[in-house]
Amino acid sequence: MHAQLSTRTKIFCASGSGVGGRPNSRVCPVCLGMPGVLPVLSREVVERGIRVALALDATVAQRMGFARKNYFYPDLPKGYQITQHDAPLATDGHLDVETAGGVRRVRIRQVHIEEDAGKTVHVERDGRSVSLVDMNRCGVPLVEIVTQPDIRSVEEADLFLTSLRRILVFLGVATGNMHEGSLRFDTNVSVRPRGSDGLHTPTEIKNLNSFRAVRKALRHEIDRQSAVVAGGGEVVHETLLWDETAERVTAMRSKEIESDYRYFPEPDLLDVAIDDAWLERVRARMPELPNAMRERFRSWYGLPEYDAGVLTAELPTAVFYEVSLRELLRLTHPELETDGASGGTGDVDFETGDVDFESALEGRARLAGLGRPEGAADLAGIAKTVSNWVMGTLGGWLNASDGVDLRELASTRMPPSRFAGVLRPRIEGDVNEPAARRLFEEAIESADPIDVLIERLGLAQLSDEAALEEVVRGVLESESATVERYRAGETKLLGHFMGLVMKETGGRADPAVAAGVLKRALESA
Amino acid sequence: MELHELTFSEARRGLDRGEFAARDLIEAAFDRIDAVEPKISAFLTVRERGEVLAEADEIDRARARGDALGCLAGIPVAVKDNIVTRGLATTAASRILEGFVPPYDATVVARLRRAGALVVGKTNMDEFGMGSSNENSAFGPTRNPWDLDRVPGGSSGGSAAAVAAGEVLLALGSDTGGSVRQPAGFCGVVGVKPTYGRVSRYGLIAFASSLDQIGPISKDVEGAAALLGAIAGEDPRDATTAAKEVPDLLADLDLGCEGLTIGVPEEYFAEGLSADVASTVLDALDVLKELGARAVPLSLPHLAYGIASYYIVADAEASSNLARYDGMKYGYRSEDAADIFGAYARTRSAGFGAEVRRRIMLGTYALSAGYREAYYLKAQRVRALIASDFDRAFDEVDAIVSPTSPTAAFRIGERIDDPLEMYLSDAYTVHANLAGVPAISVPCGVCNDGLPVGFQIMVDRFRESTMFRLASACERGVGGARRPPGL
Repeated sequence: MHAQLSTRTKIFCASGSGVGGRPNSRVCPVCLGMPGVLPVLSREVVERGIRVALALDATVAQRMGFARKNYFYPDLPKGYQITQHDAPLATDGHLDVETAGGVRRVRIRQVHIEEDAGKTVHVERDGRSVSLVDMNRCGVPLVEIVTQPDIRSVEEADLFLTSLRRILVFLGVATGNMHEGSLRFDTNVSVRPRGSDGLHTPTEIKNLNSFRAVRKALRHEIDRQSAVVAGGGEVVHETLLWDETAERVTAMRSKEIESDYRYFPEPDLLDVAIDDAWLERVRARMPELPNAMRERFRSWYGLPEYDAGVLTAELPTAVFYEVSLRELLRLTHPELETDGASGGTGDVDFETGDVDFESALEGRARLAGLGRPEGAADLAGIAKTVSNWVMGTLGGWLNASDGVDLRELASTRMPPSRFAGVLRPRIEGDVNEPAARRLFEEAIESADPIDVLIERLGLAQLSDEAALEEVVRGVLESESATVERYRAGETKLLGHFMGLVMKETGGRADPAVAAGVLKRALESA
Repeated sequence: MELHELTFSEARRGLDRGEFAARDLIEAAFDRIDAVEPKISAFLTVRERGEVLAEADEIDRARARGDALGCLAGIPVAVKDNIVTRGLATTAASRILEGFVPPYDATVVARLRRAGALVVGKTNMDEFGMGSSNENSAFGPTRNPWDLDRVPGGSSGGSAAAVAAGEVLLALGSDTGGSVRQPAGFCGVVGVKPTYGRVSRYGLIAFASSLDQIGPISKDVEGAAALLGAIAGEDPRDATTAAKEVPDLLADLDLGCEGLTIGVPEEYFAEGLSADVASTVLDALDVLKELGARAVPLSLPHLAYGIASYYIVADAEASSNLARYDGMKYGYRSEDAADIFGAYARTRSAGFGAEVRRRIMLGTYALSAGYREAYYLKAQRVRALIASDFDRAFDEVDAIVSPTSPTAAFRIGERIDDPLEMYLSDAYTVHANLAGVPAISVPCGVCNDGLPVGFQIMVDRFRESTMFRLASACERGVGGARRPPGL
């Protein structure tokens, strides 16, 4: 897997990293490979790489170095890619993947860092087909993770990649946004007839840019190789290219396969020594990984296993959930001071898609550092309500709103503090569930404060005496027999009348005001 | 005496005493360029006289105001054409970069400007630094001011000739295997290859990254030391520069050579050395001994493998460094190719000269699967052995001396068809690059042909002060640069 590391700058120059933008707008002489320029390694990239290596339990090299991989292509402006070859960042790691058949360990052969190439696009211009090159991506840092041949099925490959992607995102090192091409995959496939112990010749498939493409290509290639072997043939060792639109593989032309990259140590960069002190500094700042976060959600907030799993499947969801819950507790239990020394959690940058990952990580670390909120007897209930809302109402809204994702919604119209504001009257019994859902949708559409919305939609509690007198009069008129019994001394029937008033007002009546009005009406006849 | 005959130190003092102004030096430089450039072709690009005069006037006004001035304020300087200059054409003497005007300055150029130096133009060279005679320039050869039928050496032949002919007081060259020292020797001027990592390579069009260093050329040792002092030091844009303080390189020039131990390796005075050159160099060594230096015989057993190791390492790196010249982004591009791979082949076949193509092929071969071990990796091991020869030697001696080249300047056309013979011009200079140590070529007299001979002094890494001290003693004892009779 190749993953773009979401750093502020490119790996060897100060040009901005990231995706998109006008073609060739984030470039400088260094990433354009102009004559005489030299690469200077970004320390930030090395640290991100170390973080990945540590998360995969890999052995980080005490000394790592770069190499040149030489080949010609228009989107490779220097005519070589600076990568790692003989002295990679880390080796010998593993990732345990939970499969239907139990935990499966996939060994990681190598983790290294390198620069990305630019992009070549082929377009029609004045009736001619021309190729254009965008160098914005040139020099964007990549981490490459190479496994040992430990994956035995398409399903395992899918689970492994999903799990690896989630780890990268939780580490704060990558956005993992596949539609932006930030994750890319090359696979090697070989088949072994059931019952035999020899693997047949492998093939390599390149150019896979999504989990879906990996699944399709693997399925396709396994079937193809199986048919070859079943027919008594032998698989030809070759490099195949996945054609996303035709959904099939094609053999690469020999000219497109540079069999000899003429690797040699990059003379423009010194080897990098990674001492224990540096490793420890990175280790001390390691963000919480998905499994740890899931466990914490269960133990701190009493969430069911299922909820904790769903909420921590994607980092934005997890952070949105936790920030919202904390914000809500601040509103409903101001006496708890759950936020300790910090000024609340509303400013946590859960938006990890942003390039400013470090602040997001600090925010997450602060969140986890707050500790379990103690003293709220109804904590588990509130936590479950918020969970239901994030998975249900919010999730449903996002599913129905094509193209809006949580990060976008949460960074604009529905930040966690507003979401908590919507949930508060529901938790405190001021509005009922359908009213709360209306409130949520209105709170997305309108920028008005929550109380203004409650007022405008008529969702607020009814505490106006005249209006309540009207309701009470209606209730008492239809209940003349029971009224007689009350007046005869059966005063415990007051609760029965209160229930009717609440029912009549859709639960909106202010209990204290309503009780006063009711008593006066019953005793004044 | 005419201004163009001055050395750097004479010009420096004249400016300080107000005997003439920066404007006068620049006028003299341009007059001299007008007079001799048609004969020697040292420059590929000369800036507008008025533009440089305006900069000189700035310096003169600053001096009149009593402002603090840089150590090279008002000094006309030439820059080798493989060092990028913002807004000024930079081609490395190659067709493939014809018309390339960089939007950025090399670090050394920025530092020259900071020191107040006035860049006059860009000097001719062997294409991409590949050559020892300047005959490999795509834009015609430079001629030696001492004898116009002879080569000025290379690859910094334009820079050495420009200084020798008095067109500028100082020049920057680059030295990958002797490309500053050998032409300095051939042209009777001083040339320095600094310690690897002493001078930033940012903006130096790479030939062989692990060997390249930018170095100064001057008529006098003081000028070379002043120019190196101005450009040396760590650069955040070049990860291979050393985080070492640069000492005052002028401080030890007057200390003489008494008490210094000079190693004389037998390997540098063996077969292949012209008897004429040998006797001139040994005469200079005798002068240093008379002045109090102690000479001891030495043996550096791996020197014999220097040329072989050098040409493999240098060409391997070059084959990769020159891959970027593909016609896609700047410079020359062949338009009539059927596909992208055809476009590369045609552009690079037509854009590079014969010697550059030869080196790219050699280097590509040396890195190829199946040959990498036998050539590139073995050459790197030999390189390490040569470096350790020097390490051991510098435990015993302060400096190692040799002729700069086996012969004095040869005739144009004499070696151009025999690459191996041409490569032997570097037989004494490649070791300093392979080992990363600093080295200087200082004029030590003329041989029987009346041509200048260079005396090479090598010292341990970052010991340039000792190198300049010894070179200065040699300059005083032997007589230093003379005016070339060829003009």
